[in-house]
Amino acid sequence: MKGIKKYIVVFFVLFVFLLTASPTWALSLKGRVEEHTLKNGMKILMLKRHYSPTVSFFMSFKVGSAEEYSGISGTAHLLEHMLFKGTKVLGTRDYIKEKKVLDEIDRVAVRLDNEILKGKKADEAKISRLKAELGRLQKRHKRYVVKDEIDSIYSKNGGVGLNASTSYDVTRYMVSLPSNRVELWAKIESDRMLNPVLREFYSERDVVMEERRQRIESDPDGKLYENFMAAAFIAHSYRRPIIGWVSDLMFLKKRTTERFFKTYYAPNNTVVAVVGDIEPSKTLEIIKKYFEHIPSQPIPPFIPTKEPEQMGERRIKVRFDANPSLIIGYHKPTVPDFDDYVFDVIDSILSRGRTSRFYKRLIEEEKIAVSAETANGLPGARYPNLFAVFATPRHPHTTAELEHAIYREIERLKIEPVTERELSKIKNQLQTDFIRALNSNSGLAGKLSYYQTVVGDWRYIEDQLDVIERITAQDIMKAAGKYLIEDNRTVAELVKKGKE
Amino acid sequence: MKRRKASLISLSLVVIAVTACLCVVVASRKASFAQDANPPKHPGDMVFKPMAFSPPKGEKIVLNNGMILYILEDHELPVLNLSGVIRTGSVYEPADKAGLAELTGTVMRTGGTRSMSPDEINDQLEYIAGSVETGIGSESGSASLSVMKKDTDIGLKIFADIMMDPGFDQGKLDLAKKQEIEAIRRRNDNPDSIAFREFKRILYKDNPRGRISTVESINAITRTDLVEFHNRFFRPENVMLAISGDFQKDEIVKKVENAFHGWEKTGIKIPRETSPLYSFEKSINYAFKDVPQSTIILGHLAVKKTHPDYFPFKVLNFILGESGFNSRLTSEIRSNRGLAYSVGSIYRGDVEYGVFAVICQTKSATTSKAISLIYNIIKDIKKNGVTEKELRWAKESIVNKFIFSFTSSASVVNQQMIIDYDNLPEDFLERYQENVSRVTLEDIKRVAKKHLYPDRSILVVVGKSKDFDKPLSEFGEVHEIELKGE
Repeated sequence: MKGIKKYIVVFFVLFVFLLTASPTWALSLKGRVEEHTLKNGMKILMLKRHYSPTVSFFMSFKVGSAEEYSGISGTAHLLEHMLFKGTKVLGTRDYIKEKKVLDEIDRVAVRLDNEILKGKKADEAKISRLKAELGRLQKRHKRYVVKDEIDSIYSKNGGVGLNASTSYDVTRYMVSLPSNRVELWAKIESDRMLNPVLREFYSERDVVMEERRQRIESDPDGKLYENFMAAAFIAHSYRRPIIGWVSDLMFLKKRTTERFFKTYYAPNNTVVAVVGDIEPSKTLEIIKKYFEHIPSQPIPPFIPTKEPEQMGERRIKVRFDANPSLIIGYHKPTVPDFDDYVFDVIDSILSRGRTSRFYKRLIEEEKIAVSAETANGLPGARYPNLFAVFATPRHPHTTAELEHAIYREIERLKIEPVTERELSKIKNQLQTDFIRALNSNSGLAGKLSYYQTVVGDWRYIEDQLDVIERITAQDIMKAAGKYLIEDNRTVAELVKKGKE
Repeated sequence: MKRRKASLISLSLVVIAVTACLCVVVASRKASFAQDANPPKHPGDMVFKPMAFSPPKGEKIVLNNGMILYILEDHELPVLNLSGVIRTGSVYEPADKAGLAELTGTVMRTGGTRSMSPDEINDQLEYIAGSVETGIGSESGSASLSVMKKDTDIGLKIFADIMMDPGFDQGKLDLAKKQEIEAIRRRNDNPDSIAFREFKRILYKDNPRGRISTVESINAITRTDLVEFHNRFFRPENVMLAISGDFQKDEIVKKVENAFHGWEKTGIKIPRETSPLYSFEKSINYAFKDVPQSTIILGHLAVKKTHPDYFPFKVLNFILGESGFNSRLTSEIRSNRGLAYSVGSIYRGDVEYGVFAVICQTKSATTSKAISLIYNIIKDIKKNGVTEKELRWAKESIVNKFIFSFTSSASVVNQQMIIDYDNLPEDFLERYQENVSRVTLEDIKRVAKKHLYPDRSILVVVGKSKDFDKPLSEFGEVHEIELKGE
């Protein structure tokens, strides 16, 4: 497993991180990506690549944890898990009979949840009775279940990388297949979109509780990150963890999860990217056949609470059985604000590679840190977000010392213009990042669908570099001076349990 | 969030390779159905025409100095990718200097060369957005270069310089040692890294593969040790390079020859390090960590890659715990019972030995329950084998996924190189699908009986025992691991 710190950064900003360029030569994606909008509003992006007879699919829904509200945190992510459980056709031996048991399970499970929610006033005998009842029903239900059939069918057809991800901004479902299996994908995914059955809901909720224990409760970096976000945002949805707060997650309702699905998983809220050894016209024909009849529906406007301006530094501590580390975050605007692009450049200046300022000063010269990374665009990109620093001190140096040194480097950004060589280095790096990323079907499908969904246009992948090309040393000083200030920052510190 | 963690340990990496005239087939069992015909109601009944694919193949070239190249032209993008493997490893370092190999791999890259300072190298490479990296693991070293086509010459020059004449700058060695010592201080911060490390230590016992560096062993390492370690292993006849990208084959060979000009072979043979001892003793181990979820690892040594039972065991492991949702472990422990998010098994067949292990993370209060399930699932498969349906599905899956081993020219040449490095038969990849297809129910039953040892396996549990549902002693005598460090 990678260092979790990296992991988190990569996880939440993966695509914001994939800084890309807009080269003027033949490598441009413009003119190569075929775009179509189905009658129901579903957006299709296709790109031919013939290196191997394989094809990658990314299906993105413009909905994520940002659409959750207090009390239902974790719903978008639990729904994503549930959509692997099948449909009225997939995962069942006889849906009509199964449905009866499922309804009974729901009735008992809701009563059980309600009883447990009474806390100290709960009737323990009733709880054990309901638990036993639920267990019996779940056993009966098993008779009708074909276990994990979506996974099983994709697998025997050579599918790899079957997965899904939930972020604040977008929920995505991906798989790669041998290229003659386009129709298999269309059949399964259109069925998932139309007729999902959230079977095995309560055991899957337990699985996600285990996921939470693994990623957050047992992981110092996960725990620090969660607390940091909740402190940096006091009002906006970005303050809630994607996986959900414990007490929300434990009692998430199947009904709420289904409603979330019905509200947001509409074709007019969907982008599909297909990259690989395909004939776009034929692929489009198949997609139309399976998806075009799905009716579009209005998506209710979601206006999340606006994060109020921060009026002074916020500091928190998290005590854990682990060595100290540090997260610092500053509020800033998101794309398409010009300063968001400037922060992509600042990100590289501070922490990309061995010539970056943090690496040279904090790790090599002063040796006070073992790591010091930055990330632009946490935790999402649809709403104003953060520029963040993740740093780990090297004993006997303290987080306080390290924090101080980080501020010193940040102050330098405000008063000293970056050199021409530093700037052109970064521009070169963004150009080549773009080119290297053209080497992977799934990587390309991921980027196309991500930017189309979140920014509204996949061309951001290339247009970004045009903007970055224009950024000057003055722009950097200006943005740093405006946002990287004490009153606008949140500092979270991991403190070793039993020490301080 | 991702549904499943990518493989939990690096052990799960199974490298497969290509050889001559390989033809990959994506098959199906039944007759094909035409795309325009009415497809069956159920997606599981859809069948597709078999699809044959002859992946490109790299050419093997042996230079006069003994260095082996695998070369594959790929003109899609103006880039050059090179990755190398070096016959070395931490298995060769002295016990009292554990960490020497890793430090050598690190400081080769960071410590400059005889002709360039560390800063010059970093500055030149990063300005052209290129990268050179080196590293040494337990059984091999690795080196890589990635540059744009236009920077091929400067890239190769720096790469060759680092391989042949690293400067091992004293300051950069000191820095690397400090970083390593801090990593040692922090090695008990995460429960899973504790579990994997302790499992490895017990599994390999006195074999060098089980060695773990300490503050003392790192402090004992000097610059001279690095210079000598490098000298011993970084010889052209110990190096293989896989090169792909936008070039003409003859031209790139010439450039590589020039870059490594003057590097002569010594003819000194590196002996293979002895394999770990195949003894199977039950051992129950526990380490305390103040977290609400237990990390459980249960496993033992397994068949090596060249063993006749390699393919049946691989298919067995696929069904038992490697294939994700539909594996026995995941299906029961995760999907049916909701006891874990991460649960599964890994099997890595190496050249001289193999490792099999089950990994599971579950809340403290279901630790014993999960362990019992793991034991029972392995015992059941050992006793009864698998069903015909499971076997058919597993074989079809492995055979049809095989095509994804060839999705880039870099992966094609890397596989060829690793097959060669591992001394596997040249037609290993060519026969891969066939070897999987040939596995029978009887084979699975036989290898499960012969090579799975649930009752004599190593169990490592990291967590908070006072919250466990039952004491670990239910499973046998518990050895308590005391975690040292900060």
